[in-house]
Amino acid sequence: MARVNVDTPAAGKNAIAAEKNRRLFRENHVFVMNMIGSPGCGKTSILEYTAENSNVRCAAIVGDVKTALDADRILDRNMPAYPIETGGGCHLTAVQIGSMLTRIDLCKTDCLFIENVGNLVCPSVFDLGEDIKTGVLSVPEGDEKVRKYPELFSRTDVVFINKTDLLPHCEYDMEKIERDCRTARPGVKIFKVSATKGLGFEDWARYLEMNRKEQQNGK
Amino acid sequence: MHELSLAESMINTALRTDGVGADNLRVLNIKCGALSGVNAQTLEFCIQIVAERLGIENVSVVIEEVRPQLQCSCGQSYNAEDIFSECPRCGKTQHRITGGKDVFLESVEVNDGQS
Repeated sequence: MARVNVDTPAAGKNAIAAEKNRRLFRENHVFVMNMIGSPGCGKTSILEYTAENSNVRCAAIVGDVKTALDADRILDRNMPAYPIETGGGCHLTAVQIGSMLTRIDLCKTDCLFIENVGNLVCPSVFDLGEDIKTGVLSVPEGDEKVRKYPELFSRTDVVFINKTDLLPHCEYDMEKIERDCRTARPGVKIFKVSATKGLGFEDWARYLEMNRKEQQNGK
Repeated sequence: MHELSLAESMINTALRTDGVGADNLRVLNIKCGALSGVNAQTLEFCIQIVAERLGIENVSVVIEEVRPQLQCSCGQSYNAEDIFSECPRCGKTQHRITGGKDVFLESVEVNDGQS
């Protein structure tokens, strides 16, 4: 038997497509956030709030196993939204994103949200070409999610903790989950919000505006 | 089951390597980080399925699981059970992750006619 060194990352085809997407985003100065959270945590609600309350030119690619219901909700609030129905696939791939990019006017987009399929496992493995991964948590899910899914939260530069209006009704240790987020990813930005009540979005608005300015300076 | 696409990618990488073919590939040596989000057993299962589909017989998969590597703010580097482990030197959890996130095909072994 002879041994041959290979030393090649496993990602292969997806990694090549992700780099192609990333180049396109950089050329067009688009800031891209890959939003990952459980089904029902409020990813779409956060984008709905953002669509209604931000002047930043945003667009969204919305992944779901079935239906375009979430993309329609965002579209109803006048943010361009493009559904990807995965038909059983538990995460989006860079190839799927790449084929959608021909439909999006990137020159007129400062921030692109990619709302991944509701799942905390598989989406964390697949680079889509985004600038940052964004974790979305919600209070009723419990305060142990970061410990249970370290693969994801060791990669998230932004974390939303949504449904804060339900804190009085849930046993939820906010300090603990914030500490876990920072241990998993030092420097992570945490936005504590209630998307349906429109609470706590001031820091998020500033963050988005800061990124808009950075992107526009490059256009 | 994201391991299936990774398995396909790894077999393709192996077969594109000089001197490696479906007829002589015998072993894939893989390093799998504990923070990679990849289940080693599932990955092995998927590689066997892909190999069978491509007519590659008698291939073995050796997966070395790599624990998270952390570097504490106090300067200590260490391998940990998980990323919430305290630093063995200062007892804090202020670290950055320096390893354990990747999965890669480290090497392959081929039948060269000699034992």
